[in-house]
This record gives sequence, C-alpha cells and structure tokens, in this order.
Amino acid sequence: MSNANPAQSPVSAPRIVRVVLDVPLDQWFDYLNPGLPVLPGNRVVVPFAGRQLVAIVMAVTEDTEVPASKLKAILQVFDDVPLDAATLKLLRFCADYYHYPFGQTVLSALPLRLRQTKPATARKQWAYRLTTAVHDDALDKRQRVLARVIAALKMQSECSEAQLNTLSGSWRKAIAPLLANGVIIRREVVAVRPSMPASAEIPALNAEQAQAVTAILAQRQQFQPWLLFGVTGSGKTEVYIRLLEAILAEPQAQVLVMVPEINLTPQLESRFRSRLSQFTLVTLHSHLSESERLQHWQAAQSGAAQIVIGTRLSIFTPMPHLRLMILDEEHDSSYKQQDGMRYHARDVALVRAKQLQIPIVLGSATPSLESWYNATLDAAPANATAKKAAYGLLRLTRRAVAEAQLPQITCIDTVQMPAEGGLTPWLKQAIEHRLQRGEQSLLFINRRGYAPVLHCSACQWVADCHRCSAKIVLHLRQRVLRCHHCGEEQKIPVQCPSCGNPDLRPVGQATQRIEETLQQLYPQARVARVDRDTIQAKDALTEVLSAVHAGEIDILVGTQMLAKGHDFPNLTLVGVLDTDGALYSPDYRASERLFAQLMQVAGRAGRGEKAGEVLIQTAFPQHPLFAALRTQDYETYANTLLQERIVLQFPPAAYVAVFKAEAQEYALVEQFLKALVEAARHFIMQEVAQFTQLPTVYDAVRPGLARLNRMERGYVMLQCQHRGSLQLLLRAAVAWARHHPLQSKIRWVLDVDAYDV
Amino acid sequence: MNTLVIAATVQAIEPLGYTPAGLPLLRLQLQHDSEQLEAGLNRKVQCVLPAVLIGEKARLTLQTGDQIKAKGFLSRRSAKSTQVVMHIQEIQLIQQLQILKEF
Repeated sequence: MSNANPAQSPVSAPRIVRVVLDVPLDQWFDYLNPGLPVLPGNRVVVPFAGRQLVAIVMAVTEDTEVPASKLKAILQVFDDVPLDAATLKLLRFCADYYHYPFGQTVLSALPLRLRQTKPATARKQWAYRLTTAVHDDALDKRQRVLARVIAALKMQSECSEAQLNTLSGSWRKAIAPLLANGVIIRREVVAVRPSMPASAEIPALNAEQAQAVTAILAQRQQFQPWLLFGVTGSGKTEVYIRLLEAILAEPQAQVLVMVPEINLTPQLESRFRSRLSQFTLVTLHSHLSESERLQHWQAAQSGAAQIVIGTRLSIFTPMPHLRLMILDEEHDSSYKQQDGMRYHARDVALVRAKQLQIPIVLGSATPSLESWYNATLDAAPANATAKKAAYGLLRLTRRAVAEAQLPQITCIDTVQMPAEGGLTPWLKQAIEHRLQRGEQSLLFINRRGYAPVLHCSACQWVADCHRCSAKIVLHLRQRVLRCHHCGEEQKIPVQCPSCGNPDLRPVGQATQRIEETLQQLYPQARVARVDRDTIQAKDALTEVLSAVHAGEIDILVGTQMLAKGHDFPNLTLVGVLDTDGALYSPDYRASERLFAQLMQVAGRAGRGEKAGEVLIQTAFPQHPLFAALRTQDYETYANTLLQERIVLQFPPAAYVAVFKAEAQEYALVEQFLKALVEAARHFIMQEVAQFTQLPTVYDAVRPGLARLNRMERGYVMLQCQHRGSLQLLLRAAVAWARHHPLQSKIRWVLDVDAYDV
Repeated sequence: MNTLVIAATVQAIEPLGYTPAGLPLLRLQLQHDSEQLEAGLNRKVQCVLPAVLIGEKARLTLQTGDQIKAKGFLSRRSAKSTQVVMHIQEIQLIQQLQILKEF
C-alpha cells in the first residue's frame, strides 16, 4: 500500500483486478483497474503478450506483488451477467481434480462467443409458421428440402431455427421465396418455446415407475444420487418427465438433462417439448451455431430456460436455480472428454449436485460398473477404506409397453456354421422371414468402411497406415484407404507394393461390404446403412430414422450409432456380426463396454407389440458374457466383473490416473516417463507420512496403438485405493512435469480416471 | 522363364469383377484337350486349369464353351497354396460356342 500510485484510479474502486486467462499457465494475473465497475465473475479484455485476450475476473483487491511499472490496465469490461460463484466453484474443483490450468478450465467452459474480445451478441432468433394451407401438389417435387420444411410447419404450428436446422442445412434458401410472398412468416423469439399439439398421450406409470418417482421426490431437497436401473424400453424417459413436472412446479426451478450423444437430443427434445410445453427448454450441444449456443447458454444462465438438454459440455452451464440433474445412458463413454481437460461429465455432475445439495438421477439399462458399485456398495463391502455416499438404487424390470417382451437372444456358433460374406445361413433365413412378413431387421457391425484389411494373398502384404501403427481400412465406395485413428487417406494401390500382384483382396467385414452383400442377396429389399460415413450431413441420420419409422427401410446395417435410444416398433430382428474382437481385448473395460453395447442393440428388437429376436454370430458361444446376455442378466454379470476389478484393483475398486506422453522419437518419451516414474516413487518414499494409502507407480509402457499420427506414444499408470492419496501424488507429479527440461520436446497429458490408454 | 501357351475351352466363368483399385478382373476355369508327343509316342492330354485375366482384356465377352487360345504365366494361387493359376496375358477367341447362338 505504501507505494500506491495516487494518480491511477479513483479512490472508490479497488485498484487491482485479478484475472484468469485461456493460457496454459496455472496462475492468476494482476491488472490495474482504471476505474471501471468490475465484479468477480465479470468478463474483461486485457493486454497479454502483445495480444488482447478475454479474461475472467476472480477477485478485486488492493494488493499485488507485481511492480507498478509492470502492471497493465484492463481495457474493457463487458456488461454481461458475471459468472456466478457456484459455477466458478465447480470449475475450481475440476481444475484441481483434473490438474488442468484453471484459466483454461474456466474459459473452455464458456461458449465461443464469450471467449472472443468482441461484445457477445446473439444473432436474432426467429420462429417460422405458415399463413395459408399449402397443398403438397403445389410444390415442386424436386424441392425436397422445402417439402420437408412445409411438412414440419404443418405438423406443429411454429418451428424454431434449431428445429429447421435438423431438417436440412439449406432450409433458409429453400423457403426464401415463400417468405418473400408471405406464405411463411416469422417472428423474433427468445429461447424458443414452440407450442406443440397437445395430443401427446400420457402413459400411466407402472408400479415400479411410480415408486421411482416417489422415492426421488421424497429426497428432493438434498444431495442424493439415484441409479435408475431400467431394462431397455422400461420407460425411463417417462420417469424423467414426471420428475421434471414435479420439480418445475416450483417457480423458477431449473433442471439439467444430459444425454451422451447429440443424435439423441432431438428425440428427447421432442418428447419433452410435447409433454412439458409450458416450460422453456433449450438445448446445448456442438451442432448448434455459435449464436444459438450463446443464446441458449444465456437463457440457462439468466434462469429463463427451465429445462436444459445437453451433451457433456452442458455440465458447466450456469443455472442459478438448478434443482435436479438427470444423466441418461450414464454408462456411455461419450460422457468422458478425451482432450483438453479430460473430465468425466458424470463425475463432474455428481460433484455439482453435491455442491448444490440437489438430487441427481443416473439412468441406464446397463449401468457403468462405477455406478453399480456405488449403488450396491452395502451388498458388497469390498473396500473398507474408501467411504462413499451410496446411491439409491431404483429398478425398472418391466418394459413399459405392456405387450412388449424382452427379445429372445440366441448365439450362432460360427465354427459349426461358418458365415459366408459375414452372414450365417441361420441369420440369412431369419432376415428372409422378416422380409416376407414385412418386418424390419437391423444388422449390427461395429466397423465402418468396406473391409478392415487390404491383403495381398500372393505375398501376405497388408496395407498399413503410414502415420500410425495400425492397419488402414478400405473404403471401396470412396475409393480410398482411410486410417480410423489419424484420418490419413491413401489411394488404393493398383498392385501390391511388395510383390506387384494387382489382385489384392479385401479381408473381413465392415458396414459397406455387408450392405453390398445384402443388396446382392435381396435385390428387392430396401437396405440402409448408418455409420459415421453416411450420416456426415447434419440431417442424414434423422432422415434415415424417419424412413425406418415410415416403413421405407427393410434392413438397416449400422455401427453402434444405431444402438442407442432409438425406438423402432416394427423392428423384430437384430443380427450381431463379428464382435469377437472385443471379447479378448487387453482393455479391461472391453467386456463391460461390449456387454452394454450388445444389451443396447438387443434392446432395439421387439419394442412394440411384436416379439423380437436377437441372433449373435460368434466363435465363442460359451463365453460367460453371452450367457449373461441371453438371460439379460446384467446384475450377475456386473457383479462378476466387479469381483474381477476388485481382485485386480482396477476402477471402481481403485482410482487410476494415466500420464500419457508422445514425441517424434520414443527415446525422448521413454526418458521423460522413466524420470517421471522415478520422481513419483521418490516423492512417495519421501512423503510417506502424508499418504493415507501408498499409490502404485507402474513402469512406463507403450499402448496398443504405439504410434499415432507420427507420434511415438508411451504412458505411465498410477493407481491407488485412496482418492486423496492419488491426488497428492498427481499434484507433485504435475508440478514436476511442468518444469521438466524435456517439456518442450514431448507432449504430455494427465488423464485422471482414464477410460483408455 | 515362365510362359504357357495353351488352347482350351472355357469350362466355367465368374461374373466380371474388379480389383480394389478398379482394374477389371475375370476368373475362369479352362479345360484343355489335345494330343501330344511324348517319348516319340502319341498320347491324349487333358487338364483343367484355373486362370485369371486382369486388365482391360478381362472385359472380353466370354461364355462357357468358348474356345480360346491363351498365353500367360503360372503362379501359385496364394502364399498358403501349392495350386497353380494361369495368369493370362494374351487371349484370342477361336470359336464361340455355336449352340448358344442358335437360341
């Protein structure tokens, strides 16, 4: 205080503004306030290293250690709503727990528009409606986009831009003439709330559903995690709707509903909109335009939006009156962020619920072992040292549509009955029966492209990716070889580069090849393929799905994209091709994931009134995973896996963090990781007294994919039964790594609670 | 050196296919019948030979029963096989099967 410069600022405003920036330095920065009205949580613009950056104010104070000569002034204060303390507290926790620079944590939680130094204004949003009846005949048949828009406008009286965006990317152009002549009119709206036909049928709750709703609402005023364990088709969504109705009855209350994938939002959104039309609902996901995202985010922040549906990024959305969180399909690995701050949205949600003292509902037909462990902890007290808040377990064991039966699941032994072109005679016969009866089939193969391997039968050469230690996948239709890890594309060689043979063979099955085989076998059948390649366009998936609903598709071939959430009443056969790779994977989560995936896929069959059948082609029909799947016995299988994890001390029985490092040369990676291992072990020895439980530091190893995108990779796994002890070690290790001399030559990241290596 | 010149009848023929890079590819089964001189003695020779035609020549309209003259080389079917396949470099249609034309 003594050397305060009296000329700088008016007396009233605190002199120093302490901010965080989107830079990879884990510290706060002090700036001088030239007398602007600044509050903690405000967005300001500051000069930093010759640039102007957006910063978030953490504190306003009188003290600084920065010499007055080096202190720069903030340039601008934005007058938007400051970030609230609760959100900052959550972000603080995440930065600490995931060991990610706080400034980057805060700034990456904001919509892009709020990270830019321009004032953040959302483009005006409009809602569209028809003024006169338009006859289908009046439309030019070739204008498919326009026809779709008009169909949508006929169905609901008014459509938001977001809704029209799901129909086509070019709807604006398509409707321009009709907008000009007044057939379609628009009005400006904020946080769109379209009115929906009130015809939505309200299903009665069965006893289990009613009990779940009652149990959750009984403890609505406190932190309580609930695991809603409901078989596929058991009506979890209806439970969510009832919870929302009850919670939102309180004025101003807000609810955050999270879904793993963007593809699932429109479905949930339309169900919520039709049943909860009295509440303002916004969505948050990466398919929104930046303007929409900002507007939706601000609607949540201001409290105007009562329901927010979003993917994992929505977990950090400020919601001042948040009263309940719901995570649908909580086991889904999409909740894990795989770059930047590698958070798990489920875990962050639990922390947020605890900080806010509100209930959180985790819904799944195949809960993650983490959640299952927490929900059944009393039954299996395996870990006496770790004290955890047990979740409430709520079971939905019956399908909601009374007539709907769980599908019959059978394994086809591909050793006894070899598959030809990926399909066994048994499966083909089952498909033919469906074709004859006018029912739909779904073939699940979790590999896109034409064939996973391009092989020279003359000399055994195999096409590899030049940048990764992986085989490169043949995409015959696009006439390229494409690496599914780094995206590299190669031209298909005219001849074998090793021996010159032109007769190269695609080996193995993938979606394109199955589609081709089906078209050859059943030329009259309407076959559709759904994988990342076919649904790149914004509206492509919606289009296929509505075609399936309209009965315009007989056979659907696709990857895991089809496994989730979709409801096809006329689909009675699910064929699973070639999942054996995952049965014997070195990844300890592989069987958990495969089981969940197959349960989900199987759940697509027979959701309506017709019984479903699931046929799984495998060379290992005796595998315990299939035994559990056949009886749809998640519980027994989960408990078996859990015992394995407890014995092996893998999550959830222990906590695991992984240091991943990569460089052009493995020698550097190895040197860095070896030094890390040594430093970590040394730290443990030295600070033994501080640890409740001693973490294990494993030696540096290489992952299965040793080279990715020209980078040689390695990792070190750290494991401990006690979360705090592991965190203690991680803090020391991160501090060590941030100052290591090799820091500039290698790239390293820390993945806390890593999903894979 | 690896050259085979042979006259044969097309015994079986697969539909025209393509290599992954898009070269036309035709797989055939050739049946060969002739008389040859061995140890100064005349004898009958019969064999069935799998053959493959890669490249624009594969677009040639061939039918079962056609008589052809082919020149090419021999290679094993695959690295795992001892079976020999004739790779046709030049092909000449000698006579198309007459019966088919009458239909």
